[in-house]
Amino acid sequence: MFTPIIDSLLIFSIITPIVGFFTPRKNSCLICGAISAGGYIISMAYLLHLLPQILENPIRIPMEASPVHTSIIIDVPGSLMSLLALALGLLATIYSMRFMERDSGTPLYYSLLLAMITGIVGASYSGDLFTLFIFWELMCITSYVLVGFRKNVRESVEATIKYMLMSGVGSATILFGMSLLYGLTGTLNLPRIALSLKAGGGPWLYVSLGMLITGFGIKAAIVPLHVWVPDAYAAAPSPISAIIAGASTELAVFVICKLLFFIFPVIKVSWMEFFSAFAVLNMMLGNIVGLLQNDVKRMLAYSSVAHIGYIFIGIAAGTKLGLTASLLHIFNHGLMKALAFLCIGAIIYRIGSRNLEDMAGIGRKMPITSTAFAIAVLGLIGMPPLNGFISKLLLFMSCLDSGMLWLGILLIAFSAVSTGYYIRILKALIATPQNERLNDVKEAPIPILIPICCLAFLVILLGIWPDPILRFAEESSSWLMEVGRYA
Amino acid sequence: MPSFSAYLACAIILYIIGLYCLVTKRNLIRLVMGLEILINAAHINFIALSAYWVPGFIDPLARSVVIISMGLAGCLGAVLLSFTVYAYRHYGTLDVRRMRELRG
Repeated sequence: MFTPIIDSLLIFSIITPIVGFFTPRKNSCLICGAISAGGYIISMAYLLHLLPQILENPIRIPMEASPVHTSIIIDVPGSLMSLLALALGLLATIYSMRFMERDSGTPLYYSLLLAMITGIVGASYSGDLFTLFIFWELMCITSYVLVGFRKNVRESVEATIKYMLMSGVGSATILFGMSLLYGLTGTLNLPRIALSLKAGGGPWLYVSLGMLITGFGIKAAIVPLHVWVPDAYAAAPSPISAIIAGASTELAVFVICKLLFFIFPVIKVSWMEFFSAFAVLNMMLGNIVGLLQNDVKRMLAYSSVAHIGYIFIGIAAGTKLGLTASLLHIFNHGLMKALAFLCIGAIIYRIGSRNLEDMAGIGRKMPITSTAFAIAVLGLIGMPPLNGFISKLLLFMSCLDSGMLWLGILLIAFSAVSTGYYIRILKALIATPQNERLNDVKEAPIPILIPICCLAFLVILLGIWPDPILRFAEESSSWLMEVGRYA
Repeated sequence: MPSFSAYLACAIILYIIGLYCLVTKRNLIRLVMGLEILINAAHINFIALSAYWVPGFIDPLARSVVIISMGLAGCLGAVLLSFTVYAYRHYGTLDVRRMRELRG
């Protein structure tokens, strides 16, 4: 249909609920989880098999007899994003086999999760705005249902409604912006739009850019539009928080990068200024409001807002180094934030509370989870042997490179401010247990520990040996900067 | 036949009406209607612009975009309305301003 990478996910998304219908309810969580994990594994194996070929030349897959140039382009930048999404999807599925066992309707849960990852993979490979919009909506609509999956909980229904209303406005705005871009150029194919906008496009180009940035910015949590983020992240089941924070928000930032460097390089000077303002706003609000939170998931959500600000620094720099740093931080932040959410999920699974005070001393009771959580938090701060350090260093260097020293200094200053709330988490992990609730808490079960250990290992590995992912990000940014290579 | 800019103006006015509805109304069902108006504004713009480039020729691309997007808008409306039902069960009201337990 499209490409085996996307097809296998879609087929397993249909198979999983059918199998779930015929399995006894007691085992359905485990069996359906194992089946849907197969979809991610096949898809990832095929992607890794294609990777050497993709690095040479992007593979173009035209849809059936397409007179309108709709296509999927399997290229290097898209592969970076979809590797992240597939890995997180696989790990979240393994995690959910135990985490979601108390919920009903788990076969549908796995099916929706597969569809959401399909949306992310498809949107990152899309070669035209039409395909991008369809896969984008696939991701959005499934994520609404997944955030509100525990529909008997008041909090999650309220958070879902807030999230849906904002994100729905975002989708409509994206569509309006695309229609203006279509009116300006007469096509929706990204390389063709890029070619016909080489000479500039007048005031409507700015309107359409503004609408696209607003629409994708709602998902990417640009500051005035971030209101849904803490609620949705806190109310969603933890594996879903990990996917939304680690892959779907990152996809929005990735799409913004792709659109800006691909089709709007003509008006680069004006959006560079905007994005440095957004970066400062995001870092400021995320880090300062994060200090006030007691709920750990909300704290991590504000830390996500701040990290989106760090990513925008690379976009604001506007150079190849800046884009490389942004893409690298997208990947690294996805891993670290997913790890943090999975760890907090394991702790919630055992003690049933998200409050920071209640988990004081958890380190003695759940040593492996707590060690992994500490690794994630240190990575988010940007400690040297971990992957967060590499990308923050590159972001700082890109600021120096393009003469924006003040932005680099703000990056370091706000990282220091953010240490304030990360230290509170670390302190809670290593404190002596006083709460009696913690007395009979055990280490998390094996299916929850496997994804946590894998991600913690990746965070350390990419910190001490960043070469492969760095080269990947560099190659991606050179593809995004030179549209001519797609023609 | 009205000129091209009339259609564009119509789309932009519809967009503003939809935003106005979303900002001022309290009832969740009305908010869903506002969202649908917002999406339809974009559809009208697509269809109007499809006849803009070549006189007498209407680009089929815009048609297919709009038809698929209508389906997506239907999905969005369905999911939103089903969550409206759950919200009514939990809160006993459809007033969004009463659903304010999440703060900070």
